Amino acid sequence: MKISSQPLSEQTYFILLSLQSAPKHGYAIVKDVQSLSNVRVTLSVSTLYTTLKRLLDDGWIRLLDEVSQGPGKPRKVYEITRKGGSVLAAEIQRLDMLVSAARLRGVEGLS
Amino acid sequence: MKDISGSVGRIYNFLLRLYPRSFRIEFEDQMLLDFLDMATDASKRGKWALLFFCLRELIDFPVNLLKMYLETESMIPIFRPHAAGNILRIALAFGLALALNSFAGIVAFIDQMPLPTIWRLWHFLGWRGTYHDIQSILLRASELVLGPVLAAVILLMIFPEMRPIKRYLPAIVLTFALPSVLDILRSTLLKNLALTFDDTIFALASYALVGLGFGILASLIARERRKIPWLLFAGPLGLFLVSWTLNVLLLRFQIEHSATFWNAVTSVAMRNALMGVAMGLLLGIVLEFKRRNDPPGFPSVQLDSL
Repeated sequence: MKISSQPLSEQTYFILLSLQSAPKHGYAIVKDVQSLSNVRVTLSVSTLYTTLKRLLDDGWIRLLDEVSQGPGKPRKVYEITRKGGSVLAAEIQRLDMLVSAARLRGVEGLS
Repeated sequence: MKDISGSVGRIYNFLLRLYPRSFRIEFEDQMLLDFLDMATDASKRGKWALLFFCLRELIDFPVNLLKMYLETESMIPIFRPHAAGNILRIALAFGLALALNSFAGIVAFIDQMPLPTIWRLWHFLGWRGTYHDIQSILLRASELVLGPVLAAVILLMIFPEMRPIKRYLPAIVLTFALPSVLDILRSTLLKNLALTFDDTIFALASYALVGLGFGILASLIARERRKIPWLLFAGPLGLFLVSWTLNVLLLRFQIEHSATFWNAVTSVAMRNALMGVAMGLLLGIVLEFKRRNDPPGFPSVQLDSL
């Protein structure tokens, strides 16, 4: 499977990371990304859905099902695919390598 | 507050119709649902939270809209979604910040300002000058204080990575305050509005300083300090060309035709907004080209994180 060698954008990384734990609908993804990033990354609705569309087109995520949320309209739920999981794993490995290189030089927590 | 978020939802619903049809069919309902939920969340935290939420959506909306329309591989790289999105986001941020900066001076014209007291003090201290001079100085002073603060707030909202405010605030303040200092000097030293040689020199120096500030600011945003020379070159040159053109075309027209204070302020704000957008576009393109020309493995500017 060919994995993109380009680093992932923060938004893509956090969305994939969020879906890795469990399938979610859009609003749940936004909330989870906020929590994962310590409120540093706040996705706007338009950014979320343009990113989700790209991830769907690339086959990194897929539409799981529609579930009703109380009296409101049904929500579309997305889950990460095996390909998406591999991309995320490769990105984590890449980030880990960068951090390891810094640690190797004794550089920790540059301010 | 519920009414406000409802109205905002209706506007957003209307805006969603601008997306390509295929995208709308797939995501329109979900986007509106999420938007309403997020607006309700924000409104529960207060009107400022709702305002910040709306501003964030307002900035991101056109960027993502364009991304959707430009998503085709046949286009030249600079116009592909990622690059175009980043460039537009910088452009809109600078445009909004500069436009707000020009509105900051309005505070000097609020009726309740204790101008007569200051005027009496002015004369008591033996300084010459008219009531208008004091008003003009207050206008500039409020620009110096409020302008950078407004600009900092808007830029910090758009670029969350800049939240370590101690690190970035000096750059933002310098960007917006230094040209105002020069303007104060100019209006103090040169009393006539006709374009003299000295006036032009001051204007040029002012443009150079704004460009310098933009360069530093963009470099800090990009977290790639070694690119400063590139940006310092692009900043002043681009700003000079843009400002000169806009001054000739727009400000002269405004001086000739605007009769009221509000017309003048709006006109200057529009000019500043256009200037900011143009500067943002220029800096975004320079950053994007630099990123593309970097050799593999080079720690490129991570514009994606903006």
